[in-house]
This record gives sequence, C-alpha cells and structure tokens, in this order.
Amino acid sequence: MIEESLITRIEPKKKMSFFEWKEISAYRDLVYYLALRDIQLRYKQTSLGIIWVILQPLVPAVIFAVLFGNFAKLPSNGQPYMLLVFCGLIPWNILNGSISRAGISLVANANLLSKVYFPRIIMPISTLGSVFIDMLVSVGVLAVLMVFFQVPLTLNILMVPVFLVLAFLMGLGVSLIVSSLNVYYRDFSLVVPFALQIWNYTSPVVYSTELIPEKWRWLYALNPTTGLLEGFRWAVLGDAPLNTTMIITTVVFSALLLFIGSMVFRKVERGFADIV
Amino acid sequence: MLAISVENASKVYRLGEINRSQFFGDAKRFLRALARGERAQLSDPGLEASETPDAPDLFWALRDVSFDIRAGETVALIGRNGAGKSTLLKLLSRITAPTRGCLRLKGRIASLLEVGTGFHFELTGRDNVYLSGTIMGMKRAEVRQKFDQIVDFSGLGQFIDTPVKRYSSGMMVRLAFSVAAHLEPEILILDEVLAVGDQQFHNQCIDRIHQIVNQGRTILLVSHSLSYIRRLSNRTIWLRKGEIVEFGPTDRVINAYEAESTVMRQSRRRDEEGKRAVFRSWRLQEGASGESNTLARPGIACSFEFRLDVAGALSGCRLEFCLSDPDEISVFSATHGFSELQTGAANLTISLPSLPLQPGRYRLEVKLLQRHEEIDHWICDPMLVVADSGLHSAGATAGLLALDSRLDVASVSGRSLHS
Repeated sequence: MIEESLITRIEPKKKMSFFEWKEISAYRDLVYYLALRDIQLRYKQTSLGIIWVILQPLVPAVIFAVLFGNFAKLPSNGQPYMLLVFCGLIPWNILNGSISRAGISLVANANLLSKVYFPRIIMPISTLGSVFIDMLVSVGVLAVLMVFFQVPLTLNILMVPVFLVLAFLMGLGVSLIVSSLNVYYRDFSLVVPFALQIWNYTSPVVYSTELIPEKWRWLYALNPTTGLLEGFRWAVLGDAPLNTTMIITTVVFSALLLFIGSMVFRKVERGFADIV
Repeated sequence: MLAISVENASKVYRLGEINRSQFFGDAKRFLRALARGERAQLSDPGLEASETPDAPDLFWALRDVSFDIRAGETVALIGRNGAGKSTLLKLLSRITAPTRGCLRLKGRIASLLEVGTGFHFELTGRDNVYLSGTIMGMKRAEVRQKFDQIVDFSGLGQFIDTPVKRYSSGMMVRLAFSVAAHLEPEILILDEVLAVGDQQFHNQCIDRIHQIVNQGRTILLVSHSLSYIRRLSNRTIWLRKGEIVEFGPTDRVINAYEAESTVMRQSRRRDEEGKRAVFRSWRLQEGASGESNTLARPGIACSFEFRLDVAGALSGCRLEFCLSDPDEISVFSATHGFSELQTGAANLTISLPSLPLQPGRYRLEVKLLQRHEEIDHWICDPMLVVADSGLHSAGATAGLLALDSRLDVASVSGRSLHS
C-alpha cells in the first residue's frame, strides 16, 4: 500500500478552509512560467520594450511636476515635485497594476481553468510577476532621479522593501476579491478601472498629504493608501516625520484585505470551472 | 492495488442561463442569510448536496457513479455525447467538485482534456513546452531534463523556436501530445487525443501509450474510435445519461454498445412508421452484375434498385428520382407514374442506358407520392460513388458529365468569311 499522503480525495465543496500552502508551493514553477508568459507577451512585439516600462511612470511624473509643482505651486515639502510624484507612482502602480491585471486573470484564462487543475490562486499570483518587473524598472529609474536631484541618502531607505511588500500584499488582497467575484459578476471588470481612478484621486499619489487641511487629516489617514504612499516617500526622501496612525491603518487594512480576499477566493474557487 | 476509486459520484448542473446573477440581488441574499445565521449561497450552477435533488431545472450529468480501477490498468470510457464522460473526467482531474460522493486517486494525475492545453499562440514551441509542462504539473527541472526527448518525439526540432501561431494544427497537436506523453504521472487521462495527427504519428502515440501502460501507469481513455479502444484498453466503462450501463472487459462492453447503437439507428428509420411506405435500401446494378454503390463503368447501362416496405396498399403512385452532385446541383431527374403497390416489400428499379459522370460522389434522392401526397422521401445512404473509369471528356477541366467529344475542322472553300 502507498501511504495515505499520496491519496487525493475529491469531495463536494467544504464550507470554509484555508489555502493548502504545500500544494501551492509544489506549483511554484508554474507561477514562474505564467509570469514569464505575461511578461513576454506584454513586450514581445513591441520594438521599444523596456522603454515603455520606464516611460509609464516617468511621463506622468514630468507632467504633474510641471502642472502642480511649477504652475500651481502645490506644497512638496521642499523636495523636487517630480520626485514627490515619482515616489507616489511606484507604490500606486503596484496597487493599480496588480488589481487591474490580476483582477481579470481568472476570466482571461477561462480556457485553462476549465481544462486543467492547479491551485487557482496561482493565476492571480502569477500576474503579479509582470507588475514586479515593472516595479523593478521604476525603482531603477528612481535611483537615477535621486542621483540627478542629489537627494541625500538616509537610513530610512532600508524601509523601502517593506513598503513595496506592503503594496503587493494590499494589491493581492484586493485582487483576490476582485478576480473571484469577477467570475460571477462581470460588472467588476467595468467597475474596477473607475474605482481605481477615484482611489487615485483620493490618495496622495500626485500630491502631498500637506495639501489636505489639518482638521481633515484624520479622515484622510483612514484611506489605507495614504500610509503606504507617505511611508514610501518617507523611506526614499527621508524628510517629514512619519505619521504612525497612517502606517498602522495601512498595515491593518492590508492584513484585513488579504484575509477577506483569501476567504472569498477559497469560498468560490471550486466553482470557477462551472461558471467561467 | 487501486489507483482510482469512485464512490457514488454525482454532479448536478442547473439548466438555463447561469450567469444572469445580479450582484446586488446576490449580495442582499448573502447578507440576509448571514444575518439569520444560515449558510449563504452564491448563484452557482454546481450545486451542493443539501439542495433538492429532483427539481425540474436540474441536470444530472452524473448520477451515483461508482467504480474502481486498479493500478496499471488502461480503462476506456465510452458513451454517446452527453453521457457524462467529460464530466467524469473533469471530476477526476479536479477541475470541478462533485455535488455528492467521493473520488480517490492514488498518486499524481495528469490530464489532457483537450489538445494544446495551456498553449499560447504567441510563444515559441520551446516556451510552450515549459509552460504546458508546468501547467500539467511538472517541475521546471523535470521539463528541462526531458526537453530533448519531448522534441524528438514530436519531430519538430527545427521549428521549436518558432511561435506556435505559425504551426499547422497537426504540428501543434504533435507537440502537445509529446509534452503529455512525457508527464510520467501515475494516472493519465486522455480525451480524444488520438483522433488527430497523421497515420505515422498515430502509431507513434499508440506505441507510446503501450509503453506507458507497460511502465505500470494507469490510463483512462476517452475516444469515439472503438477500434483504438479495442487495441488499447483491457476494460471499458459504458456510460449512458450519467449512469454506468456496464463496466467489464472491453470486447464485451463494446459489442453491447455497438449492438445498441445499431438498434437505435434502425429504429430511427422506423420512427417514420405510420407512413404507408418507407424506403429501406438501394443498390446499383451495372450491366448484368454488380451489387455495390460504386459505378465503375459510366459508359454502359446501369440501374438503381430501391427496396420499399409497403405497409398499406397504394394506388396512383409516382416515383421521383433525382441525382445531384455534393453541392446539390441537380444532374439528372426523372418522374415515373405507376398504378399501384401491394402491401409487403417491393423493388423499384430505374434503368439508364448509361450514366456518363465524372468521378466523384453523388447524392441520390427518391420520393414516393400518391397523387400529390408525399408518402416517403429518402436521401439515399450511402451515396453513389463514380469510380475513375478512364472515361473523360477530352481535356475536360470542369463539368459533371464525361462525354466523348470530337473536333472536326473543315475549310469552307470558295468563299472568304472576311469579305
């Protein structure tokens, strides 16, 4: 007899359960190849390839720097406005990219889901690969900009990876909710770009939190991205002291989103193939 | 030792449009159920066991299916379309969850439910081998190690770095099968994969499957080709309407299955009973002999004999006969009246002095009328085949008829046409 661990039992859906991490890690090579596929497909037939990844955050950064920094003279905490925007765009693009790409990943790969079995969470996770590559390139550009603007390095820079990871976790949490519900209600693929836009305006992506009147800051800090974006800025530019309420909100929200996302995803994933 | 054990597996689908669910409606129901402390339910076509089992809008794709497969067996699944074969395979390959029951598998399972699973057209053959290998559960190192074998097997070495979108469908199938054939799972599910590729690749696949069987793997095979099933599998499961009709030695099950399909085909023709006469069969007589549906010598006399079963005597009859090419362009038609038909069987024969047709397949249609009332109309099965007889119109490039033609050139003396 073969030991019990080799036996797969296939049974009706359970009420609630957590992910089987062992199984997911057995499929980690699949994450790699699916991510590789996404990256290859995104840039395969483009002649400029990586240039587009560089231009994506750079162009809006320049535009907002001119509009808000030079013309409107919005506060920038004494930093070059362009750097302020660029620092906002890096974590924001992680969020934006993962939600918009991972959110449709299940529906877009319906043909795979209905023909092969693999842990379904592999699909949204692997789309984060291309977001990760974009992020790496942007961080490279940021380093160049920092040298150009002669920003002094502080120890805060060590916190940069923490905030990047936080951005990915928050993005994954939202993606899990959006991608699984999108299978049931295609409305989500229409709502998401719209919601992301609103979220962008209400987050300090292209402006600084200083712009918000003092008496409304507490409310503004409840937006989980405020802490994320300001935290990242703090880590890179290392100027204004960090507002701990904001950071706590961000961490708590990310954890909560990840938890809810996992629950929703787990709850509905076994029905995907019947519906998608 | 068992490789697969299925106990009372059932799968129910809800019929009709499944994606009409409204987000707000569902959310309201979800919250209300939550508030009442009940289990919340999304609109889901794959139901849960607790729901009423016999509602009219439910479709039982599988109903209480149980069987065991020993390790190392090759078992085939047969059944008509909609019998539940694909549903069973989907359950076994864990794509969907059963509504009820339990399926147990021992060891790694890999399935190739459709050729080219996970292939992406934009990627090269090489990338696709890695991608589809990992999708089907291989590790990267495993694919790397078997890569050369896979490519050799497919015979696509020189195209391996070309995007798959430039491949012919045959090439894609070869590559896809090659990846699957090197999976080395303990259990392999194959669905209709054998129905593609050229003869040589077919044989290669079958050799490979024999090889896999001999390695002690378990194979579950679905194909409409009964001859392949006979060659490959020891035991066969016959499904009908979601239930197992028979599970036993392949020869016995297939014979029973074929017997049933023949009965069904005949009875379909018998559905037309109630008619007073029905065409049963036809044959061609060429010259003095011949009893096939192939016309070998279009130049000589031939006749078409139609067998007719007459249930009640008819009078004032008419037979319409029409011969047309596969595009349904009529080549020849005739109508013959005759006075009466006795109850019983009758042969109606239409004779032609010759049938000078180009080689090919032709459609025959016969219609029996009583005065102006249609008694039976039959598009003859099989079709008429005209063999290549060497009788061609000289230099013919188009047309249906093969007629001898001749050209005479004579000068007309005395007068000039141009004056």
